Amino acid sequence: MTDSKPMTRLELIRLIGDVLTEVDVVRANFMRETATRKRLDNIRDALDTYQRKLVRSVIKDNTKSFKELTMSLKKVNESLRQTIEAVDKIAQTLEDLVKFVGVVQKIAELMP
Amino acid sequence: MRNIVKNHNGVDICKLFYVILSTLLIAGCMSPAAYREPITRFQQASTVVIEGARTEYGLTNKRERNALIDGLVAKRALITLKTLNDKEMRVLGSDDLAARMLALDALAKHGQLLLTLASSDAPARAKDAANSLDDAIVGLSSSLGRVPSDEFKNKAEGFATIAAEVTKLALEAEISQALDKAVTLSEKDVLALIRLLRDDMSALHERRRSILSAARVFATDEYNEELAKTNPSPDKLRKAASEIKTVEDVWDKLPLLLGAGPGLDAMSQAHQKLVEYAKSSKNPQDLAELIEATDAFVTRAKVISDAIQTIQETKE
Repeated sequence: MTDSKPMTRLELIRLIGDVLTEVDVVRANFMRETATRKRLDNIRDALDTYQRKLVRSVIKDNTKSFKELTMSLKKVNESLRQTIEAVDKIAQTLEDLVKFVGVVQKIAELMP
Repeated sequence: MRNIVKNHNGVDICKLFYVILSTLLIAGCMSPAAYREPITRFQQASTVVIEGARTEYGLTNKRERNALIDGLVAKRALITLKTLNDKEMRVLGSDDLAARMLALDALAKHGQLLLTLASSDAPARAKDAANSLDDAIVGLSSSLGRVPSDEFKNKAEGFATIAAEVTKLALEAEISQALDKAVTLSEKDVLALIRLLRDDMSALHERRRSILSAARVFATDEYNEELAKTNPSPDKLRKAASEIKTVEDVWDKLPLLLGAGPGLDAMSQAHQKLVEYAKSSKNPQDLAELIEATDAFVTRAKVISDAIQTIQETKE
């Protein structure tokens, strides 16, 4: 069950950091020239950029939009947890990661 | 005490008076001397933590730049000056960095003011310390004008109020009152500023973790790619393996590289106790609690001092 407590900016930065380190563990299983690895590299680059942006900029974490989007992020993260450590479930992991990046992108758009 | 009261001779009555007088002096003492020891410790530990935060801020953009270069090398991509100059690749812009350094300066001056007020009854010295804080605030305020966020600005305004009021009291030779005021008035602004800096440190730690995590992949890639060749070079494999070990050593040390963050937590707690003491009737129990909090802060600052040394020595 998803934790219903609102997320703070710092918790969001940490969550992105957790997913980044997990993506790194997954992508290290694939050689650089493979298609899966390239997709994972792109996902990693996107998350890294958004995390840096969140660290640099001010974002109001008490707005309705922020609360809704971070709640949605928690749900995607929960689904991601089920597959990210299983190499044979890479297709599902990639799907969840794309969703995760999409929500993070929407959160980043809230920044001035 | 019971024996003293039982023997009503002149000497014991004198002793009794001495004990009562000493207790009253300690319990009701309103002189700045009561603050001296805990404030000296607070100031010493604050200096360590503030220096730790300065180090962390100073290293952050360098770390990002190096990570960018490592990423481009891994991708076998072109490194251009345009890419290196890209402001988006930095965590803190020059104005943001300046504002934070000045905020740390103001925090250090605030501690110095407390120490001067607690250590000296000379209004001139107290006035100098208050003016020094005032100068730091002026610098900070002007720097904040160039920063989009207004959070630091709010804290700086609080500082300015403290400096003005304390300067006035110090000039009127009301040192005890100036000290209490300097502590109690700073409750909201100093604690909020410490919290803000603490959040910054936590966020910067997260960037450090992400960058280091990417470095682990670069290191294993180098080894695995050499290994995948038809005739892998034993020398290149050894070199790549050595790089993996170096990166993994840093990764293992990561929990120790929290820098000034936990120190700012301890600083916030010790400062809260200072405020409570300033507001209290200043009995021995109040003082004991304050000393306990500042001791905990000093212990934490020693750990941080070692961690900062590790950060400075760590090759990332």
